[in-house]
Amino acid sequence: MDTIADTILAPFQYEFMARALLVSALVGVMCPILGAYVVTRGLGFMGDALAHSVLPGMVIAFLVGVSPFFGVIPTAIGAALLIGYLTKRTGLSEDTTIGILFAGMFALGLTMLTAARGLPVNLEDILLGQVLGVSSADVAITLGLTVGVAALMIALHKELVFANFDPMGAAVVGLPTQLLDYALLALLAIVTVIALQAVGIVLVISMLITPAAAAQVLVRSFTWAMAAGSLIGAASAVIGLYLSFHYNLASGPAMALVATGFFILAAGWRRLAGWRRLARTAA
Amino acid sequence: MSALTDTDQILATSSPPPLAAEGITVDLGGVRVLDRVSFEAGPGCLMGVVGPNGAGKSTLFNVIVGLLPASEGRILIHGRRIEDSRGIVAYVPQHEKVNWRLRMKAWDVVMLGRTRRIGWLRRPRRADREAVESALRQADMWERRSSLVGELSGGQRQRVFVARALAQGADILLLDEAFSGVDIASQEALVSVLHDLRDQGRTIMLSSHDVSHVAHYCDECLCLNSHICACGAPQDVLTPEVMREMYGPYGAAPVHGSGFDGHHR
Repeated sequence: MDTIADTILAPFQYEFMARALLVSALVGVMCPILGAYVVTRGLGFMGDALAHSVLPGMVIAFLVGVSPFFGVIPTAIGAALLIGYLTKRTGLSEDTTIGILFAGMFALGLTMLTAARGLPVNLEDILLGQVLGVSSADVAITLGLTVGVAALMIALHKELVFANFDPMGAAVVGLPTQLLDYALLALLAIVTVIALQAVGIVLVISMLITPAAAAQVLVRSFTWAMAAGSLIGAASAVIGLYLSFHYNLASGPAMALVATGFFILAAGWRRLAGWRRLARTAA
Repeated sequence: MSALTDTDQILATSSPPPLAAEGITVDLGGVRVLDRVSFEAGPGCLMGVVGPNGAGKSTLFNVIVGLLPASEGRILIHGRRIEDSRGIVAYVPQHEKVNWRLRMKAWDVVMLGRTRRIGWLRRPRRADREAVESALRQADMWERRSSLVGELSGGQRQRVFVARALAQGADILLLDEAFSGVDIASQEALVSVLHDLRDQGRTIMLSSHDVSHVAHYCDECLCLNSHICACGAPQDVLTPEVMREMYGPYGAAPVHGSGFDGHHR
């Protein structure tokens, strides 16, 4: 790799790399948009659980021989709505409900996977993501879902912000806060599923939370932090993929590491700004 | 404006009062939290609700704004049911009910009051921005419009939420634990905004566990301990007998500024 241009263009000689870059960028943009709510509402465990609980759906899709999306999306939405419902109804705390469902579904998926020998899948790819293996159909589905989720998030923005900032106030003016809550969970489920391709079940949480959190550290208001998070997320995913290409690293962990690096930089920058302000007031 | 003893009083009034509670009873998990609570609040009235922790103040507010159904009785807003009166009633939430991690500028919080008027899938128009500006000015928060509400003092935050109620076009405002987390200096600023709104003819209800707030600032005082112990002008109703009925035999009123801020239903 002689020049920067070579470094950047090299992956494009392979079609699978071009597909992987597109999917990674979409994942990087979408995750922090939902992640902004995940971070401010404390839904991190929920996001992690959603990712793990889709495993049975994924195995079924492999068994039937269709794109994993067809198994994973209904499972994720079902799990999200079930968690929301159980938390409201059973009086158990949210993390308990999530924990039960998360562990139960993941265990079921692992059992199905070991029972159904001879599936053309690698557990490591499922757990850590294998974005290099995405097909053109996966790209098309990812693109469609991304556009749909983004459109809904923009369309419902002011209502979602109201309901998540002040749920009682929102209910008083007559907003359907429960419906908005379920809608947010369903959209979160879809984005989680999209992100699975890039970072796998175990590391989805890093794309959901880390870029959004870095943006929160840097940017004052919620809406702008959402936009900044998307930039950081896209940068993490794309830079991570380049690192994995040039240094032959696993792509999911590389993306997660770059996102973590961005967070450390953001936190460090914030610290530095704080010190500088202190020094200025002291002087 | 005093506790209703018979329904003839309602029938006698030509235009129904902004806010009327008729025999509100609420049972939660086998406990009677509110017991046949009836009162009226007229226009241009600042009514304070006092009572010990667990007296049902927050429950009463939740029933009035339609968040909690009453087991018996009904709320009438200008003579109509709450479902038909959305937007007329605004709610200033207790501090801990708001998700402060979601950081918003004062301007944006006030704009939330326009959400219903703007409508689904639409963006704010000029009229909405003008309403937000006017509300912020009335609440004396215009200068701080770009501040994050989470970084404002307790009293300033309350004024931002009052401005949101104004932007919403509400003529009935409810402030649950209005002075919790509000220091004495900014209490005065908040009260002066509330008095202005009352003088414009709005109906304001606030709750406080601290009787002295209500005694100092309110026109009417509703003494609650699941049932109404008394209702009327503060100097008339805050008698030793009523205080005992609310707070028990050892229950002198909590000392002003005692800082105790316990949990409420």
